[in-house]
Amino acid sequence: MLLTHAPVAELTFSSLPQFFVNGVLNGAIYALIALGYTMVYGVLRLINFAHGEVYMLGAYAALLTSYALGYGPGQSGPGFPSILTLAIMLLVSMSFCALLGVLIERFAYRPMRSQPRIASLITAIGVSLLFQFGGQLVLPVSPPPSISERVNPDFLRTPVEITLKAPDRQMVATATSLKPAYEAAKQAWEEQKKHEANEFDLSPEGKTLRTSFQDAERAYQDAARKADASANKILIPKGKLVMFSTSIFLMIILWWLVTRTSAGRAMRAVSHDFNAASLMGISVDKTITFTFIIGSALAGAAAMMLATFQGTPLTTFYGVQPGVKAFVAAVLGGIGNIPGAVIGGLLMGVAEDLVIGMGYSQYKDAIALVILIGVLLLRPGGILGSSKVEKV
Amino acid sequence: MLEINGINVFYGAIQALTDVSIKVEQGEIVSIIGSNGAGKSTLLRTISGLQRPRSGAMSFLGTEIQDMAPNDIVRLGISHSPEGRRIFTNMSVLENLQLGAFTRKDNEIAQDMEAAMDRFPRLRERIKQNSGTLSGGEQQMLAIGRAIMSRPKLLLLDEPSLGLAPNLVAEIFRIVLDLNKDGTTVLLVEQNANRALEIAHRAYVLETGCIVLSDTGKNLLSDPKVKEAYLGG
Amino acid sequence: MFWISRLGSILGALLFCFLLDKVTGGLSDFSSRLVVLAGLYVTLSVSLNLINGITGQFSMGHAAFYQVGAYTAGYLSVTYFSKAHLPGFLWIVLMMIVAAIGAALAGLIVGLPSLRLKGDYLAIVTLGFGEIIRIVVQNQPSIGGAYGMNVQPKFPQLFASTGTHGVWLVWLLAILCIAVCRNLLKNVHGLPFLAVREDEIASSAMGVNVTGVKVTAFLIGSAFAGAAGALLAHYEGFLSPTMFTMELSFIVLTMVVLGGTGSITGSTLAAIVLFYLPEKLRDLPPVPVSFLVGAVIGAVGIVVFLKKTIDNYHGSSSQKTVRMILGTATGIVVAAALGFVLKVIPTIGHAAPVEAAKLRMVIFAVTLIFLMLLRPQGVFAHHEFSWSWVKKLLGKKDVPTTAVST
Repeated sequence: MLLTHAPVAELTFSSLPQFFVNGVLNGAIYALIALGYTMVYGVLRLINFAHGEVYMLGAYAALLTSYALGYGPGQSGPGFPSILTLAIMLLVSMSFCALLGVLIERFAYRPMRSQPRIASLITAIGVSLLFQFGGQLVLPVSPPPSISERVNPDFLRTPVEITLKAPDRQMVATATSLKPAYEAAKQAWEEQKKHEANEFDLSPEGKTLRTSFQDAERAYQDAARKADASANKILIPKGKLVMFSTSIFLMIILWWLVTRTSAGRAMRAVSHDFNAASLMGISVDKTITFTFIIGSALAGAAAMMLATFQGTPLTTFYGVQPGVKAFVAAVLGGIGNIPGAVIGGLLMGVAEDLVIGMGYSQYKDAIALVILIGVLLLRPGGILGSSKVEKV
Repeated sequence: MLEINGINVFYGAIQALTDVSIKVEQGEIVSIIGSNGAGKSTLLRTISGLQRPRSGAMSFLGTEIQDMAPNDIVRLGISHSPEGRRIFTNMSVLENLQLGAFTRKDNEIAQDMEAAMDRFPRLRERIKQNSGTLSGGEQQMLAIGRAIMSRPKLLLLDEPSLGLAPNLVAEIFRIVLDLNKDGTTVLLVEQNANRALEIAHRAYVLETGCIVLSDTGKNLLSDPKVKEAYLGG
Repeated sequence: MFWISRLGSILGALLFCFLLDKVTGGLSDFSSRLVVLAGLYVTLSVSLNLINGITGQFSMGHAAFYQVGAYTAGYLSVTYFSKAHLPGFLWIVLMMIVAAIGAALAGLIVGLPSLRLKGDYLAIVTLGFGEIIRIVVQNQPSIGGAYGMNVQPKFPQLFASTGTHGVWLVWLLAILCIAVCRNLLKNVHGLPFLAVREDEIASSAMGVNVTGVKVTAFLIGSAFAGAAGALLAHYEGFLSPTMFTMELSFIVLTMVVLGGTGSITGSTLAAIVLFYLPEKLRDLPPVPVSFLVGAVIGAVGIVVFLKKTIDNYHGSSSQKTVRMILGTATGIVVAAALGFVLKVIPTIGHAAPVEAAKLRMVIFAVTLIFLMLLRPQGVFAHHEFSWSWVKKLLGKKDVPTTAVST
């Protein structure tokens, strides 16, 4: 798998940077999804419960696209480079999710605008459940399919290494000094093997040579491992780096859209005051549709990337956990606040990895809920929001 | 230019405007005065589309507008500076002005923005500041500046002098006169009856949802009934 | 007159419970299980309505109180029943009380901090608390963790000495819950709850102890859910965290919303209907996909038509109703027709038929959406069944006995 880390180490002072980096990389994805929650809340004051399911369906869209392009089970892939496939999958996921978001807004949320907000919340819950359980009836769920490994291009397989602290020189010297002996013993043993009938019935000579080889190998490998462990390195799987860069790129586009274009200003105006915005000539309906398009497309991008690079098996409940975490991220950063969602996402990523590092990985799903309740009770406005208790 | 015929507006079961008819001709300043709760703001909100009349007709430059959405009415050339200013405090002064020009696609917007800042020098000073940090008077100027950025044919002003210090009030009214001289028709709603009648070509008096008097500004200023009720005797 | 009708109601309730127990005894195991579970759902639904509908506090984590009650009773029974030498029946009543207290404590923990929050935020926090409780329980090996815990003793043994099947106890709890909430509503003591629902600021201005009211609602609601949990534990004989997921909270919520927030009658009936309907689905043959597609198209059409009629039709009320009924009927016919016609399309025609039981949660989801679109106040809104309503039906005049009429 492209994204396997080294086995989960303990959280120590020296391993802190690795955990932190993992957290930030994961957090960027949470941020993408969180942006969808926060923008919709900003314009509609609605918690879009169904956002997690839009994310889930985006992953399925990526899956089915990969099948169509020849990466299905038993197929051998198309003739063109996998980068192109990835690009197509990304575009399809984003467009599909955008369309889905628009449909949900138009048919489930728009009729609710004149009702009390609880009604919209209940509708959102209904839509979410509908996709989760209705999806089970039409999408492939058993066995849970996953996007084929082969989609990922080869150059992504090796991790990037960043050395924080070089390995202890003496240990490296020790290992290096043991290497010639090891190679010699190995060569001798290989030579001897050719003269032996089989490996289980060795001559006394053979046994000796094998033992010396194994001893030399053990000594060398122990020394090499010790030398390696004395270094402090951060390993970043290239796949994660690609995900992170794409996420940052998308966020930059979003920032540009929101702050520099007329449509973005319209969105900020609508989130502040519906009526005043329409007095500017802004079509509130169109602006809300635009918000859903952007938010859902970002979720689609996140879904495609995670599903492809992590290869997790997909079920219709694939979006529940990420949805909850991204929502908490949005609340943490200040719901309705766009930079807040990014900060919240990164913080959530780091918090989650720290919890795993501390050995409580079975509680990693609960950490999000604890953060949520903590924020809502102590500072409902979130980090970038107002500090006064917001009476809804 | 603007013709309102017998509109009735309700908030739920409560009638706010009863059979109201007014006219605004091109180039005029028309004032609507009345006490609190008389329905003046409701009238402006109905014209700009934020409120729908239950019955009656409204037309602007020949187009029927009583069923139109606010953002479409703006595109016809009406601009409304609402009660309480309602500027976008999550954005800067510049962005508020940019939003005022939202419906325009021509390339004279920058020019108009310069003109607006000439008219309201204090806005130029604070152009990049968050609009929530402006003082009351500055916010009112921003609201008016924002409203004229769309080069409206008809400007609706709701209580522009509300809560402002007397010298600022004078300035606001001077600006309204200026705008009118430059060609903008103004429909002004005010509690400050004196000032409103002074600058108006014509005016209406609104009492509990009904038009009770309609005349030129000058005549109403000297009308004894108006004097007693609204001008402090 | 008042006391006679009161006594009559109580005797009637007891009679109902015992009759139900006798009748259930003769049914198959599966059917009697349905009766027991239906009774538990009624308790859950009515107790949630007290918090959500009557007091207007949108709590979405009700499954947590159910779980706390169940595990409390289960753990105590496993550890102490053999040492205590009480008859089964008394033990279980004791367990119900203890479970109610435990769940009420949980209700306090959830309710108190959430007091400052309203609307969406309260909903999210209660949902979050519910999930946290579930995850914490899931990670406690001492009560079985994710694998679950066996609970002894089970109903049949407990009630062997009295010769009943324990069904009556479940429904007695349900009726007790209904009675408590009902009396709370009709009483002068119930007014503060409704007031808090309508307008908190105005209520506190009139001297209502808003905090006290909210906390009381949470306490009573969660206590009943906990008692129901105790019964669940001893009936099933097995508890596991998967029995108390968010889905359960949503199911109970759907029952409350369908019945009408604030209507006890509504919650009761909705609980029974929404519980039985999906169970009856199991008896249906698998549904061909073409009919599902037809149903979806038909449903969308019906909803759009009904919504347009509700919003825009300006005829008389009876004309409106007739129109809506005709529209729905047409929609159903069209859906069925589509079901036959669509079989022609190969992807649809060849697709495997769907087990009707899988449609259960889909039906809940669709119910929620349709309700919110068409009738957010629920079927019964805030109307209640009452003897005066019956009298009205029968044409008799009714003298109001209390100052409060619903």
